[in-house]
Amino acid sequence: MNTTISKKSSSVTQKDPDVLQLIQPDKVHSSIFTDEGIFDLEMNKLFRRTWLFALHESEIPNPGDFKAFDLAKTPVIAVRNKDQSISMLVNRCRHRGATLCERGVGNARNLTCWYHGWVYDLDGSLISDVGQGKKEELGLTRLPRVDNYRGFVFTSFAPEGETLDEYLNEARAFMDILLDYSPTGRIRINPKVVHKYKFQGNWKQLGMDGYHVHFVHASVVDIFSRRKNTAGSAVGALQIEDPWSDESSSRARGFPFGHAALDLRQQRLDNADSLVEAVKKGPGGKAYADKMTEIHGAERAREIIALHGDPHLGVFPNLQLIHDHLRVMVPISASETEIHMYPIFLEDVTPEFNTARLRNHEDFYGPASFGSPDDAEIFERVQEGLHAGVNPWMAVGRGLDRDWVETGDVQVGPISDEVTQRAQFAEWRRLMTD
Amino acid sequence: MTSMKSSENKTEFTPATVEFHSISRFLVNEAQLADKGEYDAWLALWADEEIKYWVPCNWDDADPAESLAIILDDRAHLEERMVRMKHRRAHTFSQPARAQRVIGNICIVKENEEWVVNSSFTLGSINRGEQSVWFGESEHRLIAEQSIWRIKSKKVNLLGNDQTLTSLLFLP
Repeated sequence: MNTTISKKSSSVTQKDPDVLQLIQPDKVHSSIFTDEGIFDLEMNKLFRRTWLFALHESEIPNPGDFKAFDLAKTPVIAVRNKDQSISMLVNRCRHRGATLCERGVGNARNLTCWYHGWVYDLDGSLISDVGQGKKEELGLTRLPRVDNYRGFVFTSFAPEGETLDEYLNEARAFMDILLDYSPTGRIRINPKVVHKYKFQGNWKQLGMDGYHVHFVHASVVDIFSRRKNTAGSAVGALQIEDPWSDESSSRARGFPFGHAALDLRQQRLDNADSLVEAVKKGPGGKAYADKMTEIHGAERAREIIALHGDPHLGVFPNLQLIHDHLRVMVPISASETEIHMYPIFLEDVTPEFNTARLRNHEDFYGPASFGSPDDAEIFERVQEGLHAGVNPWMAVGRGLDRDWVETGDVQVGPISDEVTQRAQFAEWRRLMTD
Repeated sequence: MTSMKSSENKTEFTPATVEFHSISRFLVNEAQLADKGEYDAWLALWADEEIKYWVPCNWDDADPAESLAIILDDRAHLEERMVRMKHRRAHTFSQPARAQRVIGNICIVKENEEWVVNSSFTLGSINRGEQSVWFGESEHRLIAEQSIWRIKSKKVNLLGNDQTLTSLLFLP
């Protein structure tokens, strides 16, 4: 545990922001990162309207299982009901407002408030006599929409809006890269196995960025390039070709609704044979490759394995699927963000295959890993610099002159182009000014 | 490695032997080298082969086969960690190390050729002008090589390893 002794002063609140002007085609205004007033507006207009990733269904497999966590600065409880459906309830007693569950996971027959003993059924309905109001009107507040894509559970505070399928749209094909890597097409998340990490910076700094690798992670690229084989490592298969070079076949993609991907597929498919060999040489790799071939046939198995289950996808605004983990972004304030990184366990593989994935994750991600601390450090430096009161613009125009549009209104460019940031800010502007 | 909560199994009161003083001195020296960023000298305290440097995440005995660690280094990975902490382009470590720890509650038991040393620490660390305080307990397994102590393994249970953490810029 660490206890912060000194705190930087909070940013100045801009009272009446003309939000529309803050996002320009090639630049964005610093205040969207530093202003607490804009942060509050983001919670109301963006986080409490759009789809948010809540959890993976495997985290609460049995009736009565629950997970309590924060979503859009709101304490919520995801509960597995007796009919296997999942409810999203606001973790706040309807009486005086106490939270019913502590953050974390557990199993319960009902939810009881410690303050005056109000008892709620798992679906949120009030079941005890409380001597006031109408019982049926005093149930826990439910988030109106819950939906699921292949086990990824999303929720929305808004009763109406795009369906989840419409919202994810092009991003689904990238989520499939991750899911199809599992022999059963399903993954497991253990809610207790997580790297929880925080930095003093704004949540929007956590975009997909194909530009920073050679600078922020220069030491890691140097150290990993001394290894014999880095297939599946966080910086890519360096022994084949640098995937972060603009001369490579890697592409940055910006989708509608703010999703973005660092698309390394082409390079991986071009080098499929050597990448499959590398997987086979790892712990449990041969058995895995054989099983995948049995299920999918040689050609499709080769493709799936080469893609490594790594979509490098950002699902706006709070989910990223990178490498061997899924991460949730948890905004705390304009200048503080938590990242919760859950390693992905594949179903129906040998234990050593999943164990090797855990080690691969730890290598680059986590509070004492080789990668994450450098990211946190640069985000904190950015947050500091953005407080400059003169010329308060951040440039995000790289590639504007050379990028192109593909089917589905997808913006595409070489891997270091800032199409990913621009997609995120376009959606931010749409929601904040709508 | 066994849990550090097994103090009830230690039937013997740690005697104020020559070894106790020597091992206490060793722990202080190790801590000072780590805190001052003397990484080469710190690495030299470890045994040559089959070492394990383990800082569990989420709970103290989280099995690495099924869960994450904060640090889980064998010899090769620990050597890479040293290269990284000294790397001129690892900007997390661009400022000189600034940490200070105090060690106490030292308890020593001999198991065959290994000396199992439990201790507690408090540690202050400076990162980008922010001071943070950390607490934890360590289990060292030491061997004596030609009357010099060497670390076979070190396990560190950080208090709050289940909490949201900032970067660790020191060697726990």
